[in-house]
Formats: sequence, C-alpha cells, structure tokens
Amino acid sequence: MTAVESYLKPEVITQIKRLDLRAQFVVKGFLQGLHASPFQGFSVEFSEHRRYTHGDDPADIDWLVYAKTDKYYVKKFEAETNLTGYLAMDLSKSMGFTYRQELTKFDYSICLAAALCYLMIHQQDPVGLVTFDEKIRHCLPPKSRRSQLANVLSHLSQLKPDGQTNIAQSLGQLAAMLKQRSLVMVFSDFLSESQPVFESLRRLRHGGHDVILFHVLDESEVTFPFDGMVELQDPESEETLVVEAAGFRQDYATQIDTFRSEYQSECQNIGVDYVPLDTSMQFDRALMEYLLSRRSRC
Amino acid sequence: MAFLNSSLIFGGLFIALPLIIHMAMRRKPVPQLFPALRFVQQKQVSNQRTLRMKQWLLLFLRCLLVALLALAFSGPSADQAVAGNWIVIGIITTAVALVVIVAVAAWNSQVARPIVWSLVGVVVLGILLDILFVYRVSNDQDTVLIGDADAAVCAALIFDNSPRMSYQQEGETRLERAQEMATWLTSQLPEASDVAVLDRSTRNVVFSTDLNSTVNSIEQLQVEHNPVSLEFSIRSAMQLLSSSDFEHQEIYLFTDLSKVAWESVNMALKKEMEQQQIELFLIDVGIESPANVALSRPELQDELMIGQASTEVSVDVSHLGLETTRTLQLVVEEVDLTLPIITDGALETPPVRILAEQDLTFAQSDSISQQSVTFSLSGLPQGVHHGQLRLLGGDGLSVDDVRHFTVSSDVASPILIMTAEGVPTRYFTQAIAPQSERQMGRARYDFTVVRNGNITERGLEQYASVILIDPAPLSMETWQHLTHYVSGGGSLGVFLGPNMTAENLAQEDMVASLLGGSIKRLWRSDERNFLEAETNQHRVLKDFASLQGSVPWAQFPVVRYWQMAEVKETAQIIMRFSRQADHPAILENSFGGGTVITMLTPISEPLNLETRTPWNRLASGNDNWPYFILINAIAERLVSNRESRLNYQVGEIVLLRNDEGLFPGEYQLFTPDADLQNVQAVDASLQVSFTNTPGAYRLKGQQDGPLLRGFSVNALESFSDLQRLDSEVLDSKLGARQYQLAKNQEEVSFGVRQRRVGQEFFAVLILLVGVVFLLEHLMSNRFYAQQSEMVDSSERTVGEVVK
Repeated sequence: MTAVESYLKPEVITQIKRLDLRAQFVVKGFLQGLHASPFQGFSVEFSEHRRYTHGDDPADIDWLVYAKTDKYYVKKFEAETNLTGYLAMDLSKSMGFTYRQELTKFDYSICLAAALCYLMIHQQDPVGLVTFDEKIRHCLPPKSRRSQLANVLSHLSQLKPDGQTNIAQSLGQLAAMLKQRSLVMVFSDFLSESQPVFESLRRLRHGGHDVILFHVLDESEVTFPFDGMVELQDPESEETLVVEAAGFRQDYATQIDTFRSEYQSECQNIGVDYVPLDTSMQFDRALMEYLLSRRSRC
Repeated sequence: MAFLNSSLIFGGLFIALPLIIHMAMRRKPVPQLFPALRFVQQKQVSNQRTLRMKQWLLLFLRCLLVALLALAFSGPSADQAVAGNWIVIGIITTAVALVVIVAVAAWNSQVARPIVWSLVGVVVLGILLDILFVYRVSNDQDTVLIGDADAAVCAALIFDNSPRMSYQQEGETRLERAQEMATWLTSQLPEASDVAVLDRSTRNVVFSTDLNSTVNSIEQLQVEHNPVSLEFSIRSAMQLLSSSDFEHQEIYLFTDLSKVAWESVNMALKKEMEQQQIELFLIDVGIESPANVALSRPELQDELMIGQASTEVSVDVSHLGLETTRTLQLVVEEVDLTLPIITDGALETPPVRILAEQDLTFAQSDSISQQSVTFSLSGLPQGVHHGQLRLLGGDGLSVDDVRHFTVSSDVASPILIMTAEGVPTRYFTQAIAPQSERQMGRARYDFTVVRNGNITERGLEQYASVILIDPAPLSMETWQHLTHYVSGGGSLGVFLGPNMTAENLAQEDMVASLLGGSIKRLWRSDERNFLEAETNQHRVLKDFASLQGSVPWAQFPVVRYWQMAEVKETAQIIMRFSRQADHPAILENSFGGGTVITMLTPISEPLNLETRTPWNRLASGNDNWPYFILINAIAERLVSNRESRLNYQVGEIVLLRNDEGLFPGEYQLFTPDADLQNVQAVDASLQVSFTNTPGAYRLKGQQDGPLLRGFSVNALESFSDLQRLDSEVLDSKLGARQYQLAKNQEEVSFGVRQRRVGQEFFAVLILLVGVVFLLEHLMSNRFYAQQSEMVDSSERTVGEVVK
C-alpha cells in the first residue's frame, strides 16, 4: 500500500483536520489503487493512452496507435456526462456517536461525502448538498464549478449532528423537491423505523432518481464490544436499559445482521444501492460503489 | 451417619461466600451511550430471563461446590447397610435444591404459573421422599455403631485351634497362618484397646494387659485336640466383651470355615450378637480345595483276646481332593517291660512290628469318598499291646494319618457255674464258649461247674463271674457269701428255675437287695407269653438295637417264671414279659461295687422233660439265634465288669478296673506327649481324666515285677472333615450383614474400616466436587469469556456480514 492509499483508512484520515485535504487525500488514495481496474476511463486526469487490458471495451482501441506500434492502446479518456449528484446528510444526534472516541458516524459520513464531492466536481458533475433531521434543513443546489467544492466542504464542516430524525419524511421531501433526474447519496445510520424509509426510497426511485444508501454504523454498533453490566442510553430518545452485555452479544449480532439484511434485500427490490459501512472500514468501498453506480448510468 | 472430622462440617458456612459475592459484589452498570438500543430492547426480556436463570444456576453450583467440599473433608460415613439410602438422600436433596433454584428463577422471570407450580410440586415430592428415606435410615435396626477408626476398641481374638487347623500348606499350618494374621492385626489395633485371646479350650480368659502380651498369647497357641464348640468360644468372648466399657466391641474369629466347625453355631447367636452390637470379623485361613486322606477311629472286634484267639481291626479311610495312592500299615509294639522311659524329654517306646499293609488308591473327588479296610490281629502274647494304623506318605492334615489302638491278650475268663443236680448247663456253656473253641484254647470263658455243692469255702474273687443256673435253694451262708462277693466288685448272674423255692428267695431281705427286687411267687402263663425288650439302650441288648423289633421273641414262649415285685431303684429292667407288662423278665442290679443280672425264667431249659413241663423254649426252640445273642451279651456284660475299656476318644475320662490283689495300687502314667504322671487306684479303679492328646497312654506299675497296662486315645473323626461351609449357610447362621469376611490383610483392613467407620463417602463426594467444579468452570467460562475472544468473534461476524 502506498502512502496515498493509506488515506483510505479512517484512523489515518483523522489526523488531517482540514476537510478539503481529507477529501483530496481520500480520492487520490482511491484513484491510485484503481490503475489496473476497468474504471480508469472515468478519470479525466489519466494519461491518454494505455495498454489494452482484458475487460476494456474493444471500441475504445486507438487503431492509429495500433498501426504505429502494432500494440493495442485505448484512447478514450474523457467522459461526456451531466449526472447530477445530491449528498444527503443525516443530522440526527445518533450520528454523532463514537465508541472509540475517534471518528463519529457523522465524521465518517462527512469525510466520505467530501471525497465523493471532490470526485464528482473533478468529473465536472454537478453536485449539491442536502442536510436533514426531522425534515430538510439546508439545501445547496448542485453545480459543477470548482467553487462548488469549496462551498460544499465549507457547509459540511459547519454541520453538527443534534436532535431527532425522521429519515422517511426527509427523503420524501427530497423526492418532491428534485426536478431533474439525479443520483441521491444518503448518509445515515437509519436507526428508525425501516418501512417508511423504504416507502420514501420507492418514491425517489419512482421519480427516476438513482439512490445509494451509505448505511454508516459505529464500529461498536456492529461488534457490541461491551462487557459486564452496562447501562445503555439512546442519545436521541434518552431511553436507558441495564443489561449484562456478554449475554446479549450473540443476540445483538443476530439482530443487527437481520437489520442490515432487511435493508440489503429491500434495497435490491427497490433498485437502490445499499452500502453497509462502519466507522472502522476504509472509504474505498463507498467510492467504488459510487463509480459503479455512475458507470451503469452512462 | 457419622463424621470423622465433624468440626469441618462447619466449613459449610463458607457457602455464604458465593452468596455474598453474588449479592454484595454485584457490579454497578457502566453508563454507555448506544444509539442502536432498540436492537437490545427486542431481546431484552427473554435474555434477562435466561441470564438470571444461568446466574442462579451458577450461584447454586458454587454454593454446592463449597458445601460438597466441606462435607467431603468432614469425612461422612454410614453403616454399609444404609449407605445406599444416604446416597439416594443426597441425590434427592441435590435435585430438590436444583429444582428450587429453577422454580425461584422461573417465578422471578414470570414464567407461566402452571410451570412454576409444577416445579413446586416436584420440590414437595422430593422433600417427602427425603423425609421417607431419612425415617427409614433412622429406624433401621440392622445398622451398626460407626465412628472413629482410631478410637480404642474392645476386641476378642478367637482362634479355631482344632486339629483341623494343623492342615499344612506351603510349609505353614492354618493355625500358624492365623497367628501371623493375628499378630499383624494386633499391631493395627488402636492403642489402649482391650484385647483378649481365646481359643477352643476351656481355660478362663481375661483381657491382656497390653498389646505385647496379646502377641505372646497368640504365639503360644497350640492345637487343641479336645476343643469346645465354636459357639462356646464365641459366647465366652461375648461375655468377656460385655464387661468392657468400650463402645466398640469386636470379635475377630480366625477360622478355616469348615462345615463341621460351624455345625455347632446356633442361629440364636446371631440375635444375641446383634443385641450386644458386636462387630464380627471372620478371618478365613482355610483352604479352598483341601486334599486329605484320613483314618477313622479303629473298630476292634474284641479289645480282649483270649489265648490264641484273633480279632479284627477295621478302619474307614476317607479321601477328599486329588487322585492319590497311600499305603495303610498295621503295626504293633513289641513287648518290652523295661519301656517306656523318658529320655531327654522324649518318650522312648518299644519298637513296632509291621503286621500288615495295604495300598489304597483314590480317584479325584470333591466330596468325601470312603474305603473300609479290615486287618486280622492274632498271635499276640499275654499282656497289653499298643498298636497303630498309619498311612504312609504325607498330606496336608497329618493328625488323622495315624490312629492308635490297644488290645489285651489274656487267658480265658474263669466262670463259676452253680446249679442243681440234673440241670443241663450245656445250652449255656455251648452258647458262650463252644467246646471246640475251648479245646483249641480260643474260648473266651473257662467254666467250673458246682452242683449242689458248698461254695462258701471257695474264694470267689478268682472268678470273673459267678453264675447260678436254676439253682436249688441256697443256704443263708451261701447267699451271704455271694453278697460279699458282689459288693466287692464281683458279678453275679442268676437264672432262676423250678428248683428254687419262693420261701428260699423270700427268707431274707438280703436276697431281695442282691437281686434288685422281691420274688413273690411262681407265675403261670401261656404260650402267648414271651420276652420283650424294655429298652434297647442297655448294653445287653445292643446287638438287637439295629433289628428294631424284628427279633422273633414270640417264637420262644415263656409259660412259667418267677414273679418279681417291688423292683428296687438300683435295678434296671432289661426285658419284661409280654403278657404282664409289669413283670420284669431280666434286670440288672448294681450292688456295692458289683453287678447282678437276674433272669426270672431258666436259661438252660431242654425241650423234653419227663417230670415237668418246660418253663420256656428259649434254649430249645428252633432257630433260636436271639437266645444265643442274649446269652452271650449277658455273659459278656457279667465278665466285662472286671475288664476295662482300652480305647477312647480325646477328652473322655478313662476308667480302668484295678482289683486289689490282681493289680498294683499305683502306676506311672506316660502320656503321648512325654509327660509323666503318678496315678493311684481308688475303689478298685484307675481314673485318668487328662486325655487331650491322641496316642498311647502307658501305665507302669510293680506287681511281682514290672506290670504294663495302658489304653489308647484317638482324635475325633470330625476333625478330618475339611469340607468348606457354604456362604449361604454362613449367612443364615450369622446374618448376611452382621459379619465381615476377609482372607488377607487388605481385606481385613478394608473390612475393619467398613465396620468401624462404615461406608465412607469421601471418594464419592470428591468425585462430585470434581463434577460440580467442571460444571461451574464450564458455565462461568461461558458467562465470562475473555473480552478479547469476544471481540474477535464479533469482528468475524461483521466481516461475514460485509461479504
């Protein structure tokens, strides 16, 4: 792993305070690792020719270069796109939770959103930002100018997760608000009733939008690493529960697994991309998911 | 139930430790923010129930572990008889406690009430069962006292030192084996114990002063040839133990478990031992498969051999065990008037002469088989002869390989017959000493017949017996002379007949005293009158005893006889008349030192008489063998009054006739074990009561030179029977649970501990502790697994989800 690629790790990226740098490093780290992948053609900053490899579209072969060198080179390097992206950030209090006191779910989501924003702006895709809790709080209209990146990052860095959330209502509101066919990237822990959320997602899909759900959970919410008697408190509802942690671990793992499986299955039915994440996972998985989604639309 | 270390049971109070840890040391919950709380809430109720149940179970296991440890180290034990019950009680109690825990947890966890009540029902049922078992155990009358294994006890060591215990195997007799075991056992007894050593002799026993003197007593034990019964020894021990203050009373009985030895043990003994709470330990030193060839007591046709007469010596040879061939020898000591003498503590006896020998072959047999052997013995010079029947070659039990006998060779016994003129005496004389035998010098009797003569001038002491056959009326002097003779030890036979008169018989009370009753008159009867036995036990009728009423006395009617009335107490009726049951026919009267046998009808009556009707047809009847036997028996009885029995069994009191003038008044007695005693005659007889050693006893006196007499004593035949006692029979005699049987030191140790301490539960409890510890360990590991392991496992789970 090169030094740039190491920025894909959450524990490394936390050492960088500036959000724009974080986004830059994450994307560079991600792109550095893509040199042998079929996604190189999406980048505008790559060399113009490269050796044809298995998996490339034969239509992209530059026959002129072939005539000169007797070797296959592909030349297609700049995509023609007008994909509009919306980064939808959940501002609920639960998103500010961290067990290890490193990256909160919200920090992780912002990092990821910034990276995606950086990536999209550099592809000259217009990107906007939507924040919501019980309803949509802010909305930054999508633009593809380079100044949009600064705007989005500036806005992201000022967000604070606080209060209750209503994802379903917020997404419904977003669906009603969007006029143009877009790619909606939702960053949330989805710790609310799931069926209304699915309904809202259907509405989004019905509106012709592509949706990627970045389901961000804290590492502890996946592993349930507690031991002994713990008094668990829900930060949003402030409900408490005293449990003997070890006795619950297995059941909890089953529950969370079921919860994620339900989202996975339902999203597949709806046609939504579902990316389960936790704060210990590298960012490349999320970015990869975005690129796959973008390619399918081109 | 008893405890070796009862104070350690209080260690059970440490059961409070896990309770305190559980209750007081319960950790306070750590506050923790957790947004995904709803996933916890969904399983919270069921998981809390399970968790609480597990916690209670774990707590119960820890408490049980502490309780079991305390119980194990306190050393509980119970009588073996009820040990099983105690184990059942323990299992039920544990199960009840477990169900109680489950019931409480179920109640707290709000499990369905029917289930909770079912559990309560099970608990109640378990408690009732517990109470039932405890009641049964506490009311079991068969339990024995148990307690400290090292507490001083009161012990009696009983040795079966009968001759059978001299059975030798691997160079060691059974008695030596018992002594060895007993010496070891004594060293195992707790200090300050009261210990007594008993055997099957009659000596008085007291507790030994210390264990060293106990060992000395054990070492001094010897075979007792005339043992008392085993039950007598056990009862003596019980009596001795009852005088002790110690709570624990134990009897250690060293036995070969032979069937014969235990025949004497009565079933009542079992109850008495139970009441006295005596622990009985049987230490079996016997042989499982004994092999032995044994001689029975020799049977002599005649102990007295007259002149050139011969006699027969019969012996039964019994066999048990492996196939073998043995040689049986008949030997007789040479006559040597200078012997015996005791030289350097050893008895020097005359050399023996082998008269006969015979090889005997026995097949292998698990039960006793028998062969009879008869040797003829003749040609012995006058005097007393000691002989032996002996088996050559050895076997385990040597005491029955030699049997002793003593015979006397003498001249014919002189008998004076006094009768009236014309009375035929030949029937009598021919019956007891045929003329042919007399001519050959082999007749037992020699007769002097006096008819109507005066015997008052004649010294009657020279005669073995005086017999009156149908005498004429006797003068007063004659009666007095006969009375004097009888009172001095003589024997008189009176066969009354028609020549006697009632007046002569009734003239003096002296006659009635001599004969044993008053003669009243002449009694006339008919052909249906005959002799009938009054008792078959009398020596005169002993030969008829086996015929059991099939003797044809009715073929020999008695039509006339003298009626005797007022039979004296000194007289014993031998036979009576059938028609008049109260009329004696033959009676024996003890008078002074002598004996008078009176027959009230003639003994020598011919069939055809010219002047009168024959009184009976005893002598003249056809096929009159009963008469022959009867006459011989009467003659032998009369003559034997001066003879002595020469062969005895151990323990019998020997009585030898020692008429003044014929024998010396003082003797030296040489016993078989080279002991020398002086024996003096009292009232014309010698009495020897110490006959506990089998062998030849020799009497040496001086009467016109050295005079040797003697007798033989043989061991009891029962001591040759080595057949083992069945365990079922032993159980029935002693009670299956009332004794411990051991064969070696390990079994003795185990048995003693079993009876003294009871069935120990230490091993079972420690095993349980192990099981409970394992369960506790498994459960606690499951509850409190290492955090790192848990995290690892959780990460694995997440990784699988991501994939």
